[in-house]
Amino acid sequence: MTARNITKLLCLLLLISNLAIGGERKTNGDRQADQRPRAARAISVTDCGFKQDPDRYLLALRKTMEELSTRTERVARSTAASYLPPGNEKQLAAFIADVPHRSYIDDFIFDKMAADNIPHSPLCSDAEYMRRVSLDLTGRIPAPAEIRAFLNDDNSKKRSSLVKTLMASSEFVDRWTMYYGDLLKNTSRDTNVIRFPEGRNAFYQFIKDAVQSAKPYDIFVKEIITGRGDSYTAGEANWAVGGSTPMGPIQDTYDTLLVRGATQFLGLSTFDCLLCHSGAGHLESLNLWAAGMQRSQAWEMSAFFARTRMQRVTITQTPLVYSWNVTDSPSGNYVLNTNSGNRTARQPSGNGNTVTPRYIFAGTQATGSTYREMMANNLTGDRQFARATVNYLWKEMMGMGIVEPADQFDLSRLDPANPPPPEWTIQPSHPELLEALTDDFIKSGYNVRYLLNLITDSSAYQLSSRFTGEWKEEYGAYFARKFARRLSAEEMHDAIAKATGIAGSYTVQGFSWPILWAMQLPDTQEPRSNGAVTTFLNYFLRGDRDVNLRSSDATIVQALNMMNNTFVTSRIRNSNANTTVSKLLAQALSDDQLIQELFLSSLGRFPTTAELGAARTILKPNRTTGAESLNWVLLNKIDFLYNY
Amino acid sequence: MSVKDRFGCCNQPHGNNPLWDGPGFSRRQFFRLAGTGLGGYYFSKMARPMDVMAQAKVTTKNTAKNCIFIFLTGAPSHVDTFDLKEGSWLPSDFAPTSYGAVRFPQGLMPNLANNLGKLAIVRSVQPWAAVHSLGQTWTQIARNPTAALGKISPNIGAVVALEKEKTGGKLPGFIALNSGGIAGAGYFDSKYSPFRVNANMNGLPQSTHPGGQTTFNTRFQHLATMDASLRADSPLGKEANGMGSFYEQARGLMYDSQVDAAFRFTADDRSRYGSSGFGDACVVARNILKGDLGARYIQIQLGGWDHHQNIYNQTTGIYPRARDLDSGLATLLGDLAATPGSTPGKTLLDETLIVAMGEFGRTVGAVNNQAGRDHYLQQSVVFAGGGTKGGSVIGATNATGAYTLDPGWERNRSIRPEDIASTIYSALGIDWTTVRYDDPFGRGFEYIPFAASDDAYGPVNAIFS
Repeated sequence: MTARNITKLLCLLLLISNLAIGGERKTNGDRQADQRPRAARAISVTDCGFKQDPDRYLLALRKTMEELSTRTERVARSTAASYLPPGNEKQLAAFIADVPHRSYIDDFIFDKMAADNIPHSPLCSDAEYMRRVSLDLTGRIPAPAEIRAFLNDDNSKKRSSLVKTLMASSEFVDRWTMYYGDLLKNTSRDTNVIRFPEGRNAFYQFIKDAVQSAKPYDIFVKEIITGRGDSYTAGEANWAVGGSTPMGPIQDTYDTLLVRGATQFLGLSTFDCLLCHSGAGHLESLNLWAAGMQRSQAWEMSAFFARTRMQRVTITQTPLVYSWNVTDSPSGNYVLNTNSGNRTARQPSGNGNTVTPRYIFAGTQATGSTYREMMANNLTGDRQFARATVNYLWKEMMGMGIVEPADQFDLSRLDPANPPPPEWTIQPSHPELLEALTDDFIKSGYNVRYLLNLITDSSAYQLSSRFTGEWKEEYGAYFARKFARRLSAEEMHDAIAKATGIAGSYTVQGFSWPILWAMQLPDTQEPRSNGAVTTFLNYFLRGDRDVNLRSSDATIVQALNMMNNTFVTSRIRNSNANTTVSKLLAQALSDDQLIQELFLSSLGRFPTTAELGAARTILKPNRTTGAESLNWVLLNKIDFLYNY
Repeated sequence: MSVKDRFGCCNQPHGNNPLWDGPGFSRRQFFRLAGTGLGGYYFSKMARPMDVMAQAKVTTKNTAKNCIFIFLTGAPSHVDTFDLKEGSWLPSDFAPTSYGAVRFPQGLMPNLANNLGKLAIVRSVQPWAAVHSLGQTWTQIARNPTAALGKISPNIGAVVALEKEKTGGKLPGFIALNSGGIAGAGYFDSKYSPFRVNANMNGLPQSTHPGGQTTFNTRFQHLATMDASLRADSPLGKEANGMGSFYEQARGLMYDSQVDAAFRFTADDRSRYGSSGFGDACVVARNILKGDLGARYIQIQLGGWDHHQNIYNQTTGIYPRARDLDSGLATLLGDLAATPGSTPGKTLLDETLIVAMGEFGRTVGAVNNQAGRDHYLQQSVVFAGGGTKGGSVIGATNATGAYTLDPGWERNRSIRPEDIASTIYSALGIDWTTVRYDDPFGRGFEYIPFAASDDAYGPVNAIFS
């Protein structure tokens, strides 16, 4: 065995053992939890995420890695291997070695792989890149003319130019408005609160305007945290409305606001735990930072919301319709006087029964004219705000966060120069990269487009999902290949619509114009006016921004619907004059041209030789029904269903 | 104002006490309870190496081939249904009637009143959690969702689907009818996850191709051909997996006369079952089992029992829910009893265990100030068929229905969701003490927590004849 091989083996072993330690530690934690009477009690704390969904915490990283690895491996096997024929290992090696470092992202990602001797995929093809980045940035697949132009473009910087074009599009605004709607949980009604379509639309419009105008993200978040006024007209006031928590004292609402804010903006969902109990005795197996935290510290954070007031303003009595008036009271405090509701009793612990607001991560407290403004200034000035945001965006583009789960940062395990005790690992897969991105994001003026541009432009983002050789799950943490994901419900709807040339047209309450694309819907329960389309979208597990999260799982029912739902089959008919099929058949195209056009419009690429042969066979008996069938086949192919 | 049952567990009526205050234990109670196995969750597993854990030597009842699990989500009031308590609050049209020793609201559920001879009513059931989502998950996975492996735990139905997998079965082993967000396959392979269908007279949705069967067959063949080259060329594998397998499974459900016959039904059947969504689901459940299509566990949801307000309102209260349950379940019992089973001399009802339950019960005595009943940790569970003893009542509550007075079974304590699941497993011939070692953590997944190691829970054998 050569020295190099030994190093390789050692590195691999170290990596595996690191992961194994992580897994084992958590397993031990599980066992400890079993012994604790408290953990076994039938605690029914409605809002306790850990209680209701512990794997989100204890098993999430492992599960995410497994799912991403398995799914990508399966999808990659099922997509056309167009970049290189098999048996060309030498050429492939050159290909891989040639991956250019386009920014510091690539330095961190590829240097780490080189140091640890981890193999990675080559870069994806131009067509693959175009489809991938179009979906990731705009939620839509590219059109044939755009693909042709891109493939024929000789400019070596064309991938960068494409990103700029996409980010200037209205589709970009739709896609990121949907993203922030998910993050901020904008609904017209959910378990706890009713905003009515008017409130939801106002919030939707506020988000959309912010994305459109490239509002700096820190300003955007400040406006959301401090939002006040009537919920029908002041869109930003609807974030606070979402914190309203029934079945308990007002402190429950303050706590919900903190939990949402800390989760969405700081990646610190563990405040949900800390608001019921201190970390000691509870969180040792989960989060080193949180294990050392006191419940009273979480209260100090919640106390910033103790002057937030949400009042219903009745508009009609029958049926009952109301808006919310959100204000900041000049007085009022977080009081420790509860023994019922959604959280454990709040009782004084020596320092009186009133909690003074304190941003626990800052020595010098930022000022503000209201409690919420103080919170907003403190939070957006906190480096963790930028760090968590960067990590969320990285996850959205790369399939997995540098810190995973992205909402469970462990603040005591971020810095390699200040490492945690030996039984813990450093939490980020690439801590230096995370800090560099954070610096850059802050320097850019909290510019989301800048960050997305940086990521999508990197070679790391541009790796193929195909991996030659034996894939190992451990490679996942190195981002050694692109992770495949099923198109989201909205992407699926819009991809079918765009590929076939037939957009939707849906009435949504409060919109004076019809909504054409699913990505433009203001929440994930619309279009209520069209039950068939709503059901179709729901089959693709878009979540409800309330209790059901988005999921990218594949199911039998999805397959049944892709094959048989008239939403799909009516869009491939020649008898419908507007379909792609009928328009192509009306032109004087050769069979091969027709095939190429259908491949481009559906899959965003040209057919391989084998596929061309198969497609010719489909057209042979009857060109018309053949073209319909071919379009159907393409819409049901793995590389249509997935972003790979 | 806490009520202690004779085992020292506190039942704290909702409204006067914090929501999180479930049954509590003192240290002394814990050690007392440990002997009964109730305290199983508290046991340390550290001292007991995993490889020692194994199946306990148990004998299952093995009296049933199928299970229909009727999930009454929202939590029905036990004292208004299967554990009737009479008082000034009770509307006269409930018409309490004695059937032997059983008092039953004949007016509310007249058809089930006529079928009491087929029911085994268990009244000494005490759930763990009084919050819907937690209680519902607990009921379906037979363990604390917050405990280790809680969230990756499969639904009882997924365990049944795996254990009773029928080779070549046309339908998945676990069917969920009219069910919303229910517990799924957990860490099991997704082929054991619930196949969700909303029952509909027109058959299984999306199981026919709008262009016709011939067109479909051609297209599906083309799809396979198009991918075939990839599979052959791929340097990595022979098959397109993942979504591909879902497509194969989906195709198996299309244009199949037996599948179609199972999901399609007549207006006459619909009306016999009460012309409700629940009734429709009961028809489909009957058809699926009649066709012996590989489905072994059918979960049907009948929600809407969360009557915090106006429980005795004719249109928004308990009446319409009870009416649906009454018509659907009674007709199902009759039809299954009239259908021959696969074993000579047995009916389909003999071979099918039916379980109907909510996630918890509701407050007892007079109604609350909204004329409703709130969440409460005492409930009733109804069994029928599958070798159970019809016309029986197991366990008893006190005069108000607030707590278990007489457990009525061999473990001599209140029955827990884990015991209900053990009962289902036992009836189906599945060893409830099984520990699998294929879980992603290598921790050992117990079908029923601490059943093998500590005999913490077990079947309610008193329901079987």
